[in-house]
Amino acid sequence: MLNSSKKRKYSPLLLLASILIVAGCGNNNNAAPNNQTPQASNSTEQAPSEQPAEKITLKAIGHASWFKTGIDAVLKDAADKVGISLEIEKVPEGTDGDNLIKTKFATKDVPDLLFYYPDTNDNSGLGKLSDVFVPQDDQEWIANFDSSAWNYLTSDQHVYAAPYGGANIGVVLYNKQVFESLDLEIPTTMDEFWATADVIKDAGKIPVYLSGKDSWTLQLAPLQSGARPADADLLKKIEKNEAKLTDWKNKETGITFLKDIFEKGYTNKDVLSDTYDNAQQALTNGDAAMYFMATWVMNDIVTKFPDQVNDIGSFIMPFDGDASYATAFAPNAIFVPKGKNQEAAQKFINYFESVATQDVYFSNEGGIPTIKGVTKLTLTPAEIEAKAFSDAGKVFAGDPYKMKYAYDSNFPSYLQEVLVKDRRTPAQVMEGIQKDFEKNAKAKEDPNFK
Amino acid sequence: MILLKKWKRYIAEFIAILISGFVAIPLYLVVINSFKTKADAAEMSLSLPKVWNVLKNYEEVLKAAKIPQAFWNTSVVTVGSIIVLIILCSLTAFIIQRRNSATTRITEMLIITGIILPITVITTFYLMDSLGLVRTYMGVILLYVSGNFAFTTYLYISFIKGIPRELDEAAMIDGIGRISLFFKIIFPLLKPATATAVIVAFMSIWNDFFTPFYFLNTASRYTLSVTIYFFMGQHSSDWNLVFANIVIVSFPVIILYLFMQRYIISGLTAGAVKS
Amino acid sequence: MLQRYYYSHLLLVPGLILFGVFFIVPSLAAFYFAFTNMDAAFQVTRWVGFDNFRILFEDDDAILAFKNTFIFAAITTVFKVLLGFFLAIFANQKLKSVLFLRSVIFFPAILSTVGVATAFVSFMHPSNGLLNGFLEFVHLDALKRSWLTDPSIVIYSISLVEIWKWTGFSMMLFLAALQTISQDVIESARIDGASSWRMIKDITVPMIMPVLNTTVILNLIGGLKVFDIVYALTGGGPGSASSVLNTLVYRAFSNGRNGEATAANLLLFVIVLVVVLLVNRILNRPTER
Repeated sequence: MLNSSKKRKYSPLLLLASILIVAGCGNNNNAAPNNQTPQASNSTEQAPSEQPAEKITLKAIGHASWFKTGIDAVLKDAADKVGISLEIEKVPEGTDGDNLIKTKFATKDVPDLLFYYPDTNDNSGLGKLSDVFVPQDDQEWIANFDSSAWNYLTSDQHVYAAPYGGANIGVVLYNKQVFESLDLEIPTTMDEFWATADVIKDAGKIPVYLSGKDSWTLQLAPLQSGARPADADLLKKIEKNEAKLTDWKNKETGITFLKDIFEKGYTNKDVLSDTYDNAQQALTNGDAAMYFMATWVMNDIVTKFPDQVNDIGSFIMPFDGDASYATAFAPNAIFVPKGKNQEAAQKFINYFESVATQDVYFSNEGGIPTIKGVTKLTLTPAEIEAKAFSDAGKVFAGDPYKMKYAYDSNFPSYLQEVLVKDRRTPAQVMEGIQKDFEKNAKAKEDPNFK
Repeated sequence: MILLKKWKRYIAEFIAILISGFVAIPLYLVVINSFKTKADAAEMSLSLPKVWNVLKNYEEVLKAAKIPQAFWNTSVVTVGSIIVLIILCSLTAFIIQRRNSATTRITEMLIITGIILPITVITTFYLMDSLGLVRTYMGVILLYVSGNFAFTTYLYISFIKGIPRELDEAAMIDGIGRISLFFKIIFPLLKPATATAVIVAFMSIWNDFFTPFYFLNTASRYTLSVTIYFFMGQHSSDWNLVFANIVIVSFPVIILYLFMQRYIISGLTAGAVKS
Repeated sequence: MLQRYYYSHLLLVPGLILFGVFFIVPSLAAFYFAFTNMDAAFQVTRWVGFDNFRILFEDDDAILAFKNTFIFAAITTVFKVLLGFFLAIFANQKLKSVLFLRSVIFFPAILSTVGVATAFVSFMHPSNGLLNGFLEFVHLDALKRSWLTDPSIVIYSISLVEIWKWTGFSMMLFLAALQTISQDVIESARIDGASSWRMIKDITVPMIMPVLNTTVILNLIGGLKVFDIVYALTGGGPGSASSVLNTLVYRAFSNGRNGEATAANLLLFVIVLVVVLLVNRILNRPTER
């Protein structure tokens, strides 16, 4: 039976249930309720262990794969320097993990620190940012941070998040050995690109590798073609329903490009069956010459193909000649939720974003820092080249551009359909994402989309 | 049991091995790739490892995912739930099958409905929260018992149909009590059914991701099914570790199945009802 | 009178309370949200009536998802039950290798869906996959396919994987049911000189009919509610070629349109319930309780 202290703890409903269980069995031998005992004892045995409260332990939550060697080193350092340790609840990547975090915020079970996506806004399911999070505009760390370059992290003219980990840049990764052996230069116009592709194809190699089985990877080409500062006004209009996504021609260029290279045979044969893993292998062993991807893939290549790391370089796809940009991907973000531990959490952020701590982080893990003055880096040649584009201002946050409503959740599967014969044209992809965008806007009852 | 002529037996043996082989190939793929390096495993081939990373991979999984701790958490909720489930469901099924009343008919409908109904996070979360049961073993066990109740009861109903009522009646004439009737006379005859139900419930609870994820999860208290995600990243996965994790998590279930199989098959001589 | 005492309704109470309070009530209560505009943060500001259902039917993929779901449920149920049944008869023999077979056939059911899907994605690769390689080896090149990327066959390929994974489960249910058949009945039938096939038809099938029905129903429900294996193998793709009803539910949830997703869930629930009750009625007609 449940003992009396337990009964008080659980609310009347359970009490009612247990009374009924007992009543239901009357005076017979109580086979069923007897089995309540192991449950009760199990839960008392495993009462949460209380940590001695000498130092502050903050509860953090984030996606499991975000916590690697960099943060491990920082946490060791933090315990010594600021007396803060983190108890990190790791949730899976993707929708399941996101939903758990949203559920926690919906039920006011808020962590002390949240590791989450940089493009989080009022519609992301955590609540209104200004209600939930401590704004970072006036914090000391922000002096070393260019918030205009990383405008993902801002919302309503406020910065609510601090950068976590390295930024990434979407480029064309290419195998230098293949280019050298065929005496090829990096193409600077589309004509040069097609000529280059022809040479590679004639040499029996794959000019551009597509990994359509992992459909998200197909977005990298249209992400690059759509990374254009000049389109910013258009996107603002689309947000107000004064223009349509179908008007976004630069984005469509990248989709048409996918269709062209596939149909003209400049890709691997089984574009919809080959994976992100296959692509890394083909690029490093020289079966393929080019691959549209962001610099994060170098983390994998470093561990899987350490001998080939120096063969990989990066360039900007010349969709529009000299006027082309690489795609900027903001670093992930740390948020300080409002709550009883918000001061300690803020202290951790200020510590974490200091140049000294960033040096600890980036000397233990790859990635391009966004805090100015970080010197201890572990970058591969491809990343160093990509960082140079960034330093030269040739990098732009194309997408997911900070728009109010998501339009890209079906985008990867639309791109797959472009690669299935006669299934969907590039124009139809744009119509599809416009439709999804309107659906999400209407679901939010935006007056402009009535 | 159908006896076969000798040559037919050999053919049958051969067919059995052939089918097993066919079924086993994907299993082999999972196991062999759990022995490889990250780059090697990403190729997803059936070839033997170039470098045998057996200890290294398994050690890393055990450590990084804190498997022993997760194993304990999972065992507590699984064993606790199954004991309650088996007793409640077999008894409920017995009454539903034996008694033909409006109440039992409605209950049976409710059971079928329960197999189909999807569990919903948000309402369940509010309920558990209001009862103070979020992040307690008790809460998770209650959810498992109620969540698997319909399926297990439904399974029992079909097996109880196979036990003749004459048996009940004979025992009733002897003046047996109602609880004894079920637990002393009927329940022992349900050995194959109970073995089946235990395997099914064990599999579903042991591998369940959803319930512990939302209702038990804290930094220290996660179950085995969640650990696989430690090796699956935003962009790519460490397949060697994912597979090693799958092998580790599946192992206890395989042992249980091999053990319980005896009760499913041994019914041949021990548990069968003589009519 | 004896019935009322021995088969007392009171004995139903403990189970039903747990089941009702912790499962039925919260799950049914959630359907309320199908008629609201619940968003990603689970906030509700408005009652929207049947709007969510209208949006569902306007979805371009709705018809395809319906079609795929029913194809998948029908094919997998038929094959899992038939194969499971014959494997159980076969595995019930006193053969050495059968012990091994009985275990191996069940192992796929234990394996996580992620592992199964990863293995089959590799086997079903059109160029380097084991499946096409095997077909080429036995000179059946004509049967080679792009198993998971050809929109016209992808749902059948997924069904194949599901059958591979869960046939052992049906087999186990049948094996357990076979043990309840009395040896006397089998002996006397054999003395009467009944053939193996007749014995299966006249003795085995009728004796295990209740379990057979249950297996059909459980597989049918599983088939109509399918999500995991589709999601892991193709993510509903290529494009939306292998969408099923539950992937549409998932899509609405991941877009944060929780009201719409709940509506899709409710719709799915009603469809499955209707199908199952129909099939249940048909199956239960010849036998009596």
